[in-house]
Amino acid sequence: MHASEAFYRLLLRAYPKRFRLRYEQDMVRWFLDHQAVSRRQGGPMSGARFWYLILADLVTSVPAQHVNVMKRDVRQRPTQPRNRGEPVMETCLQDTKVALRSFVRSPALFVLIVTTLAVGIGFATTIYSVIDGVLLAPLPYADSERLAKIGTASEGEDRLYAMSAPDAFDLEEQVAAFSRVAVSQGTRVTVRGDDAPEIEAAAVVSSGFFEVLGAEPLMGRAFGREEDVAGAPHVVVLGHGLWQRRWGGDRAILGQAVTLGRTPFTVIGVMPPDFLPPEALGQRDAEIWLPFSLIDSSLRESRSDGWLQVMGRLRANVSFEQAHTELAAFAARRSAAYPEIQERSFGLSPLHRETIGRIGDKLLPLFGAVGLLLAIACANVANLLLVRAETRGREMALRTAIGASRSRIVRQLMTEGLILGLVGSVFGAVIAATGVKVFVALNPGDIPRIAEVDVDGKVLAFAFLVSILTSLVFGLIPALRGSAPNLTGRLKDGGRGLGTGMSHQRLRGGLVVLEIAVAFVLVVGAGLLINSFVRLQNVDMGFDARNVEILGVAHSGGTAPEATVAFFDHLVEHAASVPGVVAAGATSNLPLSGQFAMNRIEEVEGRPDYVDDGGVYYQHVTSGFFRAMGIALRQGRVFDRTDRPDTHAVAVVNESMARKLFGTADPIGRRFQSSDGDEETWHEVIGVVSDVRTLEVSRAGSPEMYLAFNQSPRARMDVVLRTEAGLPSVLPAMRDYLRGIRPDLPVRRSIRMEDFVADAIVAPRFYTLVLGSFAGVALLLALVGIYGTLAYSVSRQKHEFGVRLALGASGTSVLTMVLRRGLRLVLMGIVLGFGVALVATRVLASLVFGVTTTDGTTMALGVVAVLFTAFIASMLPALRATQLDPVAILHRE
Amino acid sequence: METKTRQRVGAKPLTPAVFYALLALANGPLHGYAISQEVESLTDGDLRMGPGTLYGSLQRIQQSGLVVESGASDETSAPHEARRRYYALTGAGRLALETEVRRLERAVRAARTRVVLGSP
Repeated sequence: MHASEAFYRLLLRAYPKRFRLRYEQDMVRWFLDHQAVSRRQGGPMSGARFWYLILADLVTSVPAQHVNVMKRDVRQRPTQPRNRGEPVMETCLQDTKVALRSFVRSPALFVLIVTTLAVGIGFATTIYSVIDGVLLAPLPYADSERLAKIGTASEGEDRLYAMSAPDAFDLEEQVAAFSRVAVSQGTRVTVRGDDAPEIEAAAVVSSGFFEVLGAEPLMGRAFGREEDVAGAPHVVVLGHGLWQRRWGGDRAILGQAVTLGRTPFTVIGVMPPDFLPPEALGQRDAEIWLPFSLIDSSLRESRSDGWLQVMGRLRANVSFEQAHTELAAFAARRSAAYPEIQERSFGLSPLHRETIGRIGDKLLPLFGAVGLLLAIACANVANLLLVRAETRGREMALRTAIGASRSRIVRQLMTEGLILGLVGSVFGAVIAATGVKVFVALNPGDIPRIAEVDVDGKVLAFAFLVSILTSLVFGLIPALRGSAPNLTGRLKDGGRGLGTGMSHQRLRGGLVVLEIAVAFVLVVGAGLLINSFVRLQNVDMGFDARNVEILGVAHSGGTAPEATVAFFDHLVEHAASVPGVVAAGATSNLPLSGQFAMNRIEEVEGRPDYVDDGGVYYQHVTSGFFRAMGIALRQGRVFDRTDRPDTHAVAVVNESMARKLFGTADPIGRRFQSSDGDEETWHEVIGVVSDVRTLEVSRAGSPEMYLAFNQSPRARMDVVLRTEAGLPSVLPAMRDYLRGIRPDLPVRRSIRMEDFVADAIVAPRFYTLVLGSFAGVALLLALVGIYGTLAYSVSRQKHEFGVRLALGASGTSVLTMVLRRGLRLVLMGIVLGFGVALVATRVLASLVFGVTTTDGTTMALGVVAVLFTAFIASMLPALRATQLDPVAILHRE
Repeated sequence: METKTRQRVGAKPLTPAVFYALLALANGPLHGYAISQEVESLTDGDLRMGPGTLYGSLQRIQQSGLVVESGASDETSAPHEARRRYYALTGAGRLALETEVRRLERAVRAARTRVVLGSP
């Protein structure tokens, strides 16, 4: 036989058996005839044309023949009268009716299956929405895949640093890979006017900013190149939200002046509501855009000061690699042209990548967790469907016996699966829609692009698909088994005996083991986060946040340092005099506020070999700060009235800094030099205080120094007030007082320090909450799974238990029997889950604090939690087994 | 059986494959491949019937009683080859073919009239 003929015979196997038996010989003959003819005719491509004809013929006629067979099956079903109308449609209706009737007959099972599906799908869809909106969806700009963040690259580092203005503008001119480049720098400005002054996020941007993003103003215009040049008129572009909030969406705002800081700016444009500023450039909430002309000429011309965020739009057909090569050439030219300036290399990275940063490390574990949850839900649904199929074994056998074909029964069960899937996905979508709202509302602020997260069509399609697949696949297993031709066994058996149920029982047991294993992994994962969170909450911050209130004020507007000192001295003095206030002070960088300043220690007295690596944090505080904040003084003294601008500079250091600079030696009276502003100043150490968690709750032991506020004043200060316990807040009175003396000064923040600390750990709390709720639901689903399996097997073995009880077995022994079965499944699940958890929890590495991801205590607690759940789930069916009435059961025989 | 077939044929137009297969058999019995070739030449190569389409159609029109397997033998086949199956029109088949041709004539006439009247 020729190879092509053999191949064709193989292809013919795709036809239904009956058709093949009848026509195979003829078709092969046809094939050979035509092959001979087409060979005789020859010509170019004759072979290709021949095979095209054969394959196209197969593709169209194979499905047609299968449809024929199905139609014939339907027509030939003896239970139904021969029906020439729309047989397929009609059987569908029939199947649906039967399915609905059976659901009505066992509503509890139906509700359980749909709820399980809905919960699994709802949770999975919620997290998928977040993943899709944050990680997967393109940025909300035209051709956003061509947007790149550009920056100064540092060898061996994956970060892009800010660039200087001359470099950025040269780059735009010289690097052809970009069609447009824009620079920007996030800032904050005080908006003044008829309403109370407010501080708003803003950005100073070059004229290309909106063009690079492909965004156009809703009304008015964006910046032109003339507005990049110093001395240009003061103009501003407003965000839609701010425009609505502050000016009530008044269209007449265009051309009018608004006061920002102390200067009037003419509004030239308003952006549309859907314009989202690029978070990768530090403009998360910016709603005010100011022109580059505002930038001071010294900063604008300095090539060594890197301070600008740069982004560019790649020309069509230019790859990131090409752009990278061009940037390297640009850097080389720059080094040649400015040999006196430090060499720099430049890099670029997709704006999308820069925007999402490393948030994937936190979101993907959640996605994994929700996948596990969905797996449990699926196992549960499969389990419940198996139970259902078995209880209906007799019904199915009966239907087969009176003539229903196997495919008819399969179709019936699949219809039921489809209906369950549909209903499940509808409720799942409802859960997802709510879930996404809750997720966004609770979001801890560390997730970029959260404003873009929404349940959209794509996500709903995902939910729908998962739901239908789940119920079809898991509906199909029992369907195929349920229709297996063992009629007599089933009919005789009447749904009681053990024989045919054995393999089902094993399958169900396997599913329960799987559920337990997965639930265990989730419980351990959640346990690790809970453990971390409790540790975070109990961290010794180094200060006492209880009964401390904060009032942040900016003494802005270019006033003399003396005036600033006088202002804050007065405010703190007044605060201390308010009834109920125990202590008051002020600081330039409130702990955990995200604001911090770093400095290098240039020289340390008596340690000529000292080299500063890593620098130290510093803040400027008033003398009352340490008492108000509850920071313990370990040695020496804190600032007092003797430390004046005209006396020598003094510093209070924390224990880590004392160790870093002086080792074990007594630091008091020792001096070190650091640059404070422009000049290098020698500071004398007058005191040592305890370490404070300045940056993050989870980060300890950073060296830090406190400098005297009146020796080098700062305009933005947080007034710290310690009050007596149990008193109402003094903040309203303080705000009123401030408004009374300086109505032009905005309140930057007004908050209890405890809330502030809680905010600092809101992200860990959030992830703990999410994973914890997944674990809780997983346990609940596992409970349902165990309960369902045991309850069902007890009901199947009623007879056996009845006999045992009749023969004198005690209730306890029957109880133990059932419990032991449950326990065996649970232990197998835990062992399996333990193995998985050891590996799987590693993905939580970026979310845990103070524990390893294989923490023994957490694992042990996980075992206890799962065992307890399993015990509850097993106890009910076990108790029911002991309460069986042997007389009644045996009587029925 | 005969009346039933006629009703069905009268009610529904034949598919092109069925129509040309019947037409190919109008001059006498043919085997499968010959039907394909005849159809191809009747339609100037517009309708090429692969084996699946051909035997699918033949099965259908055999079941409706329009075509039967004929006893005609195949002189050309070598002795070791399986005997080719020949197909022939039945009376019902011829009737269905005629009905279809009349239907087509009617359709063509209607179309021509419409085109003539419709054109300026």
